[in-house]
Amino acid sequence: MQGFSFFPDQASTFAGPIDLLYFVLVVLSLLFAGVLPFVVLYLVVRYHRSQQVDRTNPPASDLRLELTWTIIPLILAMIVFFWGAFLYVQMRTIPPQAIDIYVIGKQWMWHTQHSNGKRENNELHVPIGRPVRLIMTSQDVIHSFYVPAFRVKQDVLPGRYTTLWFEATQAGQYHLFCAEYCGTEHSLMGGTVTVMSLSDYQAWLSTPGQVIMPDGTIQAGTVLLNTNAIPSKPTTSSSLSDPMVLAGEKLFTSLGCVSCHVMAGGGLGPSLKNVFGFDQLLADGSMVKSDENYISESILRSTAKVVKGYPAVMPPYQGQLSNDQVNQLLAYIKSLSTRGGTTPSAVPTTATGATAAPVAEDLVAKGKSLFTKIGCVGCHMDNGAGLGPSLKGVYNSTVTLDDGTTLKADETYLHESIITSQAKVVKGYSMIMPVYKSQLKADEVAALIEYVKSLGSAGNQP
Amino acid sequence: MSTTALINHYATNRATTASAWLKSWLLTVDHKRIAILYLISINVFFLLGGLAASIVRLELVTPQGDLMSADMYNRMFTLHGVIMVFFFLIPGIPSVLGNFLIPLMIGARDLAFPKLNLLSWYLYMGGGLFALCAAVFGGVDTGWTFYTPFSTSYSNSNVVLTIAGAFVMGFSSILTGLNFIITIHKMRAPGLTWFRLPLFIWAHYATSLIQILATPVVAIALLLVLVERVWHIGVFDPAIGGDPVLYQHLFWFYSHPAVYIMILPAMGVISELIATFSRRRIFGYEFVAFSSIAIAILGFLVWGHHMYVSSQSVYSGLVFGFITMLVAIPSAIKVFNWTATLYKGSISYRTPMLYALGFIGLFIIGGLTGIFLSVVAVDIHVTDTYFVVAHFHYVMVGGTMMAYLGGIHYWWPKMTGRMYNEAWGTISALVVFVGFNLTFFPQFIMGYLGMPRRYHVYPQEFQIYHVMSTAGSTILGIGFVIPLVYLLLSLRYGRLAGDDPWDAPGLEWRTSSPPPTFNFETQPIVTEEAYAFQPEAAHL
Repeated sequence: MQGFSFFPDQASTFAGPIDLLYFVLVVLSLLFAGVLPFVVLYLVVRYHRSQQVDRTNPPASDLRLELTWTIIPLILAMIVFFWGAFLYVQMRTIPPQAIDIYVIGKQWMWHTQHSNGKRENNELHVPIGRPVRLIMTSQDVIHSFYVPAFRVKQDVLPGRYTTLWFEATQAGQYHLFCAEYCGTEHSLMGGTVTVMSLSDYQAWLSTPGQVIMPDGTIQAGTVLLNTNAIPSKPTTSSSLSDPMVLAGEKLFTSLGCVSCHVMAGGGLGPSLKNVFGFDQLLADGSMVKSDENYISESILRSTAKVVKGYPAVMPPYQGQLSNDQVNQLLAYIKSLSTRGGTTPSAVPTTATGATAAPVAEDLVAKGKSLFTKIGCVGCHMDNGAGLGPSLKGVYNSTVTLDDGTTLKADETYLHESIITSQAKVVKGYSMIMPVYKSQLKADEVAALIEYVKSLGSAGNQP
Repeated sequence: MSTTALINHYATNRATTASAWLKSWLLTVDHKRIAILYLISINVFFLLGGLAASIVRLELVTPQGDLMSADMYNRMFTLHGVIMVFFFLIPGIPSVLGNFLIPLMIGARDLAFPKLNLLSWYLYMGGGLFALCAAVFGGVDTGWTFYTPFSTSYSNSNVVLTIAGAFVMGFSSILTGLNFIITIHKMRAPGLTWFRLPLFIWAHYATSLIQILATPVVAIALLLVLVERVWHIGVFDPAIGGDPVLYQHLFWFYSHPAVYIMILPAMGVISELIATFSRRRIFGYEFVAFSSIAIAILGFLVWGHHMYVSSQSVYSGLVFGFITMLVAIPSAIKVFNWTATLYKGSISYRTPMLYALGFIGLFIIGGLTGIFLSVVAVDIHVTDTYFVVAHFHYVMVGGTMMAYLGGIHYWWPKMTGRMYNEAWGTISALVVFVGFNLTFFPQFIMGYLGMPRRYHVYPQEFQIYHVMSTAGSTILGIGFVIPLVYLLLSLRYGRLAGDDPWDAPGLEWRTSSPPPTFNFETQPIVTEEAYAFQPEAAHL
């Protein structure tokens, strides 16, 4: 148990102004809540039935008094309203040089993804002194991204993008919460926001981690060759060499988008050059600002808002693309526009640590791809630095659990740890792995087990 | 009326056998008996909701989830919310006190539609049974707000049954509101003009307007949740073509005005208590009366202040924030006028007055923290945290619950013919006040520090506030049990109250306690304004 405090850590440029407004509200409240009860107490004592006091001609009503206590509170309310409104507009006006970071919420974890392709789970690293814009969507229900130390909160919705920006000011680690109730493990859906200096952040970006490769797959243990990941000066356009953009471009080609959306114009669909951030004239004559929501809607429900002069022939991609893939396409389309915002450039290459077991059986291959696809790889890193234990050589080894008992990691144990992950947690690791019981089919679990087995067993390292 | 007849007034009333007795209750169309049916059933629901709250508070004593599973915790806070909102706070004061008193206060023999009134009680009980079945069959874990698409596509709990319960209860609310409006319009005693009405009636009139206009909207919203959940027709879930935020608009279009369904009758009760125990007409009667109507109207235009972080546009946020600021003003006017009523009054500290004074103190804090929440920039930080939890408990429990208890004490002698023990009454009011503040004040602090609501486990640094809150809730719980005991004991041991124990001028005191079936021996005729207390010349 810790002691009292009245203000949380102040770690963003919003924290100070909001705390000041809050403090003024507290003071104004004390004027009412501190004084009015004493007036009431004074009156109930002075005019108690037993008191011999003058009670002649009690006033029935007094217009001047009524106006006074209507107008003064109204003026005070308007002052705090406009003060708060001014701050609110600032909080919703995103600086053009903001760094974009993508956030995907799902029951019950947060995926964050930096523009150089580096991914995190239940963590977010941000630099001091640079505005950061979070582009957020949810894979399932409504979540809410909340960092008390930054005084920012924004609901994260399925089927839609919401954004949030802040500029961190104070290095340290702060709580990240989900603030919108989202089911069983709602209170565990959170983690840490780490604020670091710009140079530390650049260094951190280039350390091995989980990264989106230009081919769209997610790989663990990858380093970025370009250590100058965040340009020291803001640029106004994202670079075609960004891994997310490259992944998006590759997807754009493989899905066949490129055959209609001819960039030089003249295709069946509109060119996507300088689309993002510009107004689009639609077939019904209305205008729409082309932002993340419009672009993603036009991909997923392509006939909803068709650009004037083009036929509504594009197939809808709803259900066919993951949130990650839509984000990659977005990054690519943004890179084609002069208003695409700032993204860092860095080129990932596969390097140390990304050892894969020799693929002998189909099941192992299937397990491996699943292991990457559902994101196991983000925590169970081979080098042991992940949030979950490395699975190298785990099979048939003796495992110590957090209650101190030991057991042999046989197939039964592996199976149990996947489908009811929190039953027997390995000592030294926290209980954050989601339960896959209802999310994986039996053959998928079997494939994952085969894959883990292929990573070697006790006394038999491959 | 003889002593024996008074005691047995409700219990036997021409019924000689047990089944006839039961029938005389379950088929009664007497608004006073229906009010007592509501009193019993609503208090049973209150105790159940309170029990769920105690379990939630016990779990929160430690940061770990050690008392129950996360699923069980989620079901408990949902049960607490659903029962307290739909089956205690919304029907509470109108269905018990309003039902009993509106005909008496306006000099009528009954409500305009006595059978509809009985039907309302059956709908309430039907809705309650659905909700209780949902709890017994495993509970529901969506929170009382049923946010989509969690409630329609993801929750594995008894959403359908619970929503059916709230849906059916809604009709009870609509019919009660309809009954009150027509009664107040058409059945006032000769001479009882609108501006001679007690403020309790004004408050219930405003409440009834909200009930009949807003409740159908939530009924539609809940029905659409069922349609999507059962038949997978896409309304709210984007995966099947719906819009999740649409649900929030429909839900809060009702559920914000519903807050005023809860607090307006409470304000009406407080006006009566302050007038009687100060022996003065309420200062600025017209301002207090019209502030109820202003709150009812403005209350329909502020639902978006629940949705500042929901993806609402900046403009919507600003407009809703502005109107929310305006709705604070009529509430402030009421508090100032109550305070001014005390001036040159002749005040006595009877139990109902203590509850009324407690109401003023707590409502000031509840109202002022509402201002914090309508300042959008501050709300972004504190919404969905314990700050909001503390705020609405100050309004709902500190406001509505205090007024409900004060009103029950004030009209208890009229309803039962008996006086309760005054000393215990004083103790209960003080215990509730202290327990309440200890429970909910620390929640403001931890809310601003960032403690999110609906958390089963939480970071260590919030523990001290949770421990204080749970300690306070224990005291609060005791404060609620004390009146239950002495009020029930008073039915047997309390001294006879007589027609007018408080020496109050309202029409409800111009008949016997409890009143005869048709309320008045002769049709009362009103010749003066409300709160015409005898001059206090003797006390000069």
